[in-house]
Amino acid sequence: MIVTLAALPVALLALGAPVFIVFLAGAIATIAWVLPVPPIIIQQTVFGSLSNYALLAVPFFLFAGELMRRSGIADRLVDFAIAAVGRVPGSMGLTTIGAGTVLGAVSGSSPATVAALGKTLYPGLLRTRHSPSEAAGLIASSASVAIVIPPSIAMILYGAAAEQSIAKLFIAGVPAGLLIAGLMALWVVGVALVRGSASEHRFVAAIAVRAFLRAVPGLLMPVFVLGGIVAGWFSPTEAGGFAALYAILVGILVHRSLSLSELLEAAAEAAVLSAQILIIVAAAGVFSYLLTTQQVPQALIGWVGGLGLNAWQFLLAVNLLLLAVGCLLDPTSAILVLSPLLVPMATSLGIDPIHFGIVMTVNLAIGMFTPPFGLNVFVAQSVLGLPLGTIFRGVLPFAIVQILALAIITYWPPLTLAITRLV
Amino acid sequence: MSPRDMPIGGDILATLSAASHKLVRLLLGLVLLAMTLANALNAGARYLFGTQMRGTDELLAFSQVGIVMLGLAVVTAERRHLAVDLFPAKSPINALRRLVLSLVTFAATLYAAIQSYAFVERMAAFGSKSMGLGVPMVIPHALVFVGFALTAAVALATALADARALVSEESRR
Amino acid sequence: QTVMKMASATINDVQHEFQKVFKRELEATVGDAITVEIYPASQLGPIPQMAEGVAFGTIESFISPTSFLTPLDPKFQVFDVPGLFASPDELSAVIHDPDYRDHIETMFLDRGLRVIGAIYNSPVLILTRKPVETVADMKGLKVRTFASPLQVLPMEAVGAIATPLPLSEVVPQLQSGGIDGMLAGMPILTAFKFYDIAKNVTDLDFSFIVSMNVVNEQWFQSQAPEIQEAIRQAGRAAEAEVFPWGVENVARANGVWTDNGGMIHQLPADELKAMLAEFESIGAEVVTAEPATAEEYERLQGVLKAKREAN
Ligand code: NA
Ligand code: NA
Repeated sequence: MIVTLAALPVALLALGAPVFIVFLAGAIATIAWVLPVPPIIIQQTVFGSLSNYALLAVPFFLFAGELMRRSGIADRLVDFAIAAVGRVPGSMGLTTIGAGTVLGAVSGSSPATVAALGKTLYPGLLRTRHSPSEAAGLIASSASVAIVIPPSIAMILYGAAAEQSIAKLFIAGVPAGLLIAGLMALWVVGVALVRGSASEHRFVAAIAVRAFLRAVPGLLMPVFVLGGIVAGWFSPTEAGGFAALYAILVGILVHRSLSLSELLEAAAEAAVLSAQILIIVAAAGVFSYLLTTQQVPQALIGWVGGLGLNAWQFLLAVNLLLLAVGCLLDPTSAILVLSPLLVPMATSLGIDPIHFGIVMTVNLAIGMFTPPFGLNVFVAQSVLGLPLGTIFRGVLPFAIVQILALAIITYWPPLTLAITRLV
Repeated sequence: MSPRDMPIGGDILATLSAASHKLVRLLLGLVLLAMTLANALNAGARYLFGTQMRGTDELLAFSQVGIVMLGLAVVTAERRHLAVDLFPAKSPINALRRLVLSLVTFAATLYAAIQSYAFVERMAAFGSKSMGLGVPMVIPHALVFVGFALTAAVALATALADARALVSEESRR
Repeated sequence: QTVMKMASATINDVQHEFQKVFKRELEATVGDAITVEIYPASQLGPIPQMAEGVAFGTIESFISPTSFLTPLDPKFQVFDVPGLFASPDELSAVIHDPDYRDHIETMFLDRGLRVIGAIYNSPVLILTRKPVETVADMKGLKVRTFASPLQVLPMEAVGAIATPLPLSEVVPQLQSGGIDGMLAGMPILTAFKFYDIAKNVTDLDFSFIVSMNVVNEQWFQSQAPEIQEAIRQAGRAAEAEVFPWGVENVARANGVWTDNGGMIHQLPADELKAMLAEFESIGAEVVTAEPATAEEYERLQGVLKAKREAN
């Protein structure tokens, strides 16, 4: 089993096999030669994963991002961002982090956020002298706040599996997400100051105003999407579809830059990108199913439980465990399988289960863009067309920044719990 | 993808596969566009008029299965799969490596297609229907089979092209 | 050595309790001839995948409210007719009537499923943002239901808008007012701590959820006769043991709800009675549309009538 579930996938990965084949071939070899599992489980799990309604945010936001790029909405947004904050050190980086936080908050989907950021902000980052690696790293890591700031599917699943208040998890996620974004912003500004690359674009009021007017329809998009969710017009998943629809209407009616054939080509391209990404989710689902029914994560947790750790050590162990598990299980399986096992251990050590939920969520958020497997990185690879190594190099400093944020979130519970106790 | 990359020999076959490639992409685009409209109509009808287009959530979820599985074949044909690329672009074993990976992809998707077919057959005999739309579940499940089968066919074609490239590279040495 | 994977979508509720008691009972009889593995909280996939899994034998056992089993066999609908049972005790008396229980066990064999446990789960309530104290208060409310006609049609009958939204969308939509309420059992509402989102629950007496534990019949038949008997007996023992647990669990959940500032409203008695009569006739119409289901509904009504006459 170690051969088919570990050695074969690692060998295929090293050979440069498609990531979905890494998972699928490992699962198939296990089913065909090692475990007495009925092979139809492949079909069942692939279908079960792909028919998950909440995943629709991915194709919808990919479509929206593709439309924004083709219709020029993205260019106008970037022009405005550069004209408006050109003198602030690291302005384009800050814009990316800000956009990632807002879009992530709206979509609740980390990969969907990477897709939208990649289509819109990557060219702007290059224009402001960021290297491709740095730009990609910034985009892949900024999007991780999507599942930390509500609405968040990860938190809904944690709430279901650990029997915790989803409303309180949502509230506790806000300061955690803002801390991550804040530390990322500090890092970006710090780097810019050290490099002295602050004043390359002078601020000219007339240019900024003109850029603003051109960008208004694009700037109203997050207002419309976020406002629609708050007002109850549509659900967070439906919001993705409305973002795409908004981009279609602006592209055709306002900017008049989108022809019918381009519209169809944008949709086709978004569908193909969705396939690229979601087939990995589906194949990882089959792999996770086998690990779960072989009780692999359960055994790992039993081992941690047997160590007799105190609260401080337990949280450290959980952080390490989750970063490791994030390489193997997809986040959905990780939460559903691990939280019923971990939460009782946490509460018996006096750890607040809401706090613990945020710690788990942030861990998984970081796992989405760290090597070897990270869906965000795969999306960045697909959208930006860069080699994976380049992206991983760019991601590294931000991974360190976010692990620092994770440490603060883990060992300073009032940050997440203070507001939940007020309401 | 340019016609030169088209793996199957012969002008007619190449034209045919280029045409079907275009057609599938068009279909994918139309489906995603339709999904966008259905999503908006459903949410709009619920908010504005307090009515539901019953089963929209199922329709969207099943369509998602469809675009991913059909898209899988397109991604394979365009050789755009996400992968960890550790090998330098000029590695001498690249041609062989590509052939091996195409063959592994072919074998894995063929196995998945065969097992999917077994599942679809049982589902057809079992005959359960979806809760919202009441469609026979065999229909959305068949999309997985179709996707894997098409992808296996495409992967076989890319493997043949890889084999040809390998041979011509060997003969150049 | 055989592994019996027992799946469910929930955790720490009466279904999970059933699985645990069943495991204890079975292992007491057969030792380690069978290893029972419990997978609660959708660990083996979303509900439709688990249901198909037990039908096709990738999962040996699955426990679920009957409404999620209807895609496997419409006959499961008969237990879902709103207003059918007057109380949990009546429900228990009917489904645990020895002859009828034997019938339930084999009622779905033609679909490859055997029932090894039939339990009372909880009553269906309506959770709302604003208090619902009369039937008229439900008019125009957008209420999340399952896609089942047995929930959709009754809600439409009282003028509510049935909204079969996926569960992942319920919380944000309730928070924003995109929907006004949902149908659910109290143990689910307290497990998810819904009192942090909406405070009002109205006791509709809508229906009592029956949960059934089905096993794959082909797998069951592949076991030795003494193992088969042990599985049957462990199921019977577990359902007897968890019935009071389930009743108490609902009372406990009601207490948790009010302790956390939640309100439990009642409809005026005459309105409730008229509403339930309407629900029951709507439900009967749905389940009698198809002959096989109609026949089962008639049979269930017969057992119910006999129990009522005996009292
Ligand atoms: Na979010
Ligand atoms: Na990772």
